[in-house]
Amino acid sequence: MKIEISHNESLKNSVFSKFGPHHLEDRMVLSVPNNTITLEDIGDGKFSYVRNSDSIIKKIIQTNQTSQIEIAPVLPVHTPSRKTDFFFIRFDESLFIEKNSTMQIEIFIPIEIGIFLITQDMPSGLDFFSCDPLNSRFGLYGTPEDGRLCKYYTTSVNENNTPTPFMHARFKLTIINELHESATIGKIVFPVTDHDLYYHNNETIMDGLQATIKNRVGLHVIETIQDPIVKPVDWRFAPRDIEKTDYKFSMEMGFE
Amino acid sequence: MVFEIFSDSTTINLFGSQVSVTSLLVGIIIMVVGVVAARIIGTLFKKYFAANLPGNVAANLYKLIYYGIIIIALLAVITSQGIDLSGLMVAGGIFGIVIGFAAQSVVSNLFSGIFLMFDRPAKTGDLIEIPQSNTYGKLMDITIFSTRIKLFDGSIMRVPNEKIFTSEIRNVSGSEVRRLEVALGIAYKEDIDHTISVIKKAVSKLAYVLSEPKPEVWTEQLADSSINLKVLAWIPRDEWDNVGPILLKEIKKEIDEAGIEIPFPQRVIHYADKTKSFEATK
Repeated sequence: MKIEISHNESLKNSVFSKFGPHHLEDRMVLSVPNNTITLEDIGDGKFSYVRNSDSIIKKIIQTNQTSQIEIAPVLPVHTPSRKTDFFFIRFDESLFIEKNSTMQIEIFIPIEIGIFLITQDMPSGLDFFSCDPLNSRFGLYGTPEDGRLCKYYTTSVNENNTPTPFMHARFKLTIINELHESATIGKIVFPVTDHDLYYHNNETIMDGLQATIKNRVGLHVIETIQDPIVKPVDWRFAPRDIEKTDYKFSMEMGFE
Repeated sequence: MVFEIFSDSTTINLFGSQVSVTSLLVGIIIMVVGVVAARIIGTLFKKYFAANLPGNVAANLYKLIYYGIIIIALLAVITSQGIDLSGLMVAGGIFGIVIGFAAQSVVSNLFSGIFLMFDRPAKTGDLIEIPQSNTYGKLMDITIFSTRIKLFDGSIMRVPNEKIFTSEIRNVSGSEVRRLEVALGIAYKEDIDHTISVIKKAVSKLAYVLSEPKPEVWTEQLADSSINLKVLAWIPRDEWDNVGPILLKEIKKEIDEAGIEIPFPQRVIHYADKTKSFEATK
C-alpha cells in the first residue's frame, strides 16, 4: 500500500465517527481522518455545514423533522474532480497466470467519503472527499492519442495488513485465463461505477470483479464483468450519488 | 367560379411582360408550396438527420436545404410567368463579373466553410490554437462564412473561414490527456539525479498530474550558465488552468527546500597578465 506506516499508526489511535445515519442535533461534530465536519442549527430548519481539511468547505442545508446525516463510503471517482467512470489498478508485482487456470485474490481499493442528507429515506449527496487525497490520482489506460482516463491506484497483492478504515475497501478479483498459454498481468482497468459498496461499522467491501483473459481474433484482451456480492447480514448498502452503469468493457490496449 | 372572375384577358405588366392574373395566382401558389415544402423538409431534416451531425454542420446544412428549395421555387415562379430573363442574363453576366471580383473573399470563405464542415478539424467546444494568428480559445461554431472562437479573456474572435482552412490548427481537445512541458536550469555543482528526484516529488504532489504515464525529467542541455532540465507531465486535458500556472512554482518551492541552486547567467572573465607582455617587449 502507498500509505505510510506513521499515517496508519496515527489513525489507529484516533477515534472517528462511525459510518451510517446520524440524527441531527443542535450542534454535532463528525470526525473522519484528516477532516472534521461541524453541523450547527442556525434556525428555521437550516443547518450550517462546515468541513475542515486542508481547506474549509461551507454549506447551508435545509432540513425537516425526519432529516438525518449519513456518512458512507462512496466510489473513488469524486476527487479531485469527477472525470471518469473507470478505475485503473496497477499491481506492484505482476501476476503470472498459467493457461486455462483461475487466480483469485483480495486486494484493497481506495474509497472516498460521502456525506448524505437523508430526508424521507431519500439520500442526497451533500459533500464528497477523500481522506487520503495524496493517493487520489489519475492514470491513462492506452496511448495518449486514444487512451482512456481513469482513476488510478497502485496496490499490492502480497499484503497482509488490514485495510485502512475510511480509505480502503476490500475487493475480490477473479482472473480467468482462457488462453492456451500463460499470461502476465500488471494492471486491471474496469468501470468502477458498475459496482456497489457495502459497509459495516467502518469496514467497507466492494462488489468483486471477474476478469477473463481471451483471445479475440489474435488479440489478447481482458473482458471485465462485475461480480456482485450477496450483502452480508448486518452490512448496509452504501448510498450512491452516481447512477449505476452497465458497461460492456474489455481491455484491448494491453494488460502487462 | 372563382377562377372565372379573372379571365385570361385580365393581364398586368410585369418586367415588361404581360402576365395574366391567373398565371400570377399560379405563381403565388408555387411560391407558397415552395416555402411550405422548405419548412417541412427542413423540419424533417432537423428531426431525423441533424441529431447525428455535429451542431454547426447540421445548422449550415439546414440553411442550405431551406434556401435551396426557396430559390428553386422562385425560379419555377419566374418560368411559370413566362418572364423573359435574357435581358437580365446579359446584364447579370456583366454584373456577375463585377460581383465576382468584389465578392472573391466572400466566395472563398463560403467554400472554405463547406470544406471545413467535411474536414472537421475540431468540433464545437474544443480548445483550439491557431499559431499563425496567435489565437487560442474554445471553438464556438463554424458558420458558412466564419468561425467564432471564445478567447480566455471572455471576448469572442470571428475568424474568416478561409484563414482557418489555410492555417495550421492545433486541437488540444483531441485526446483525453495533454502534456505539459516546462524548463528550468540548475547550477553545474548540483547532482542531476538528486535534482530529478526532487522535481518528480514536487510534480507528483499535484493532484491532476497523471501517475501513469509517469512525469519525466530530461537533461536537455549543458548550457552556458546552467544544466537545463525539461519537465514533462501528463494531465487531464481540461485541467491546464489547475496545473499549468502552478507547476513551475511548486517545482521551485521544492528545489529551494532541497537547497538546489538555480543559477543566473554568468560569465567568467580572465584578464591577460599585462606585466609579462610589457617585460617581454622591453
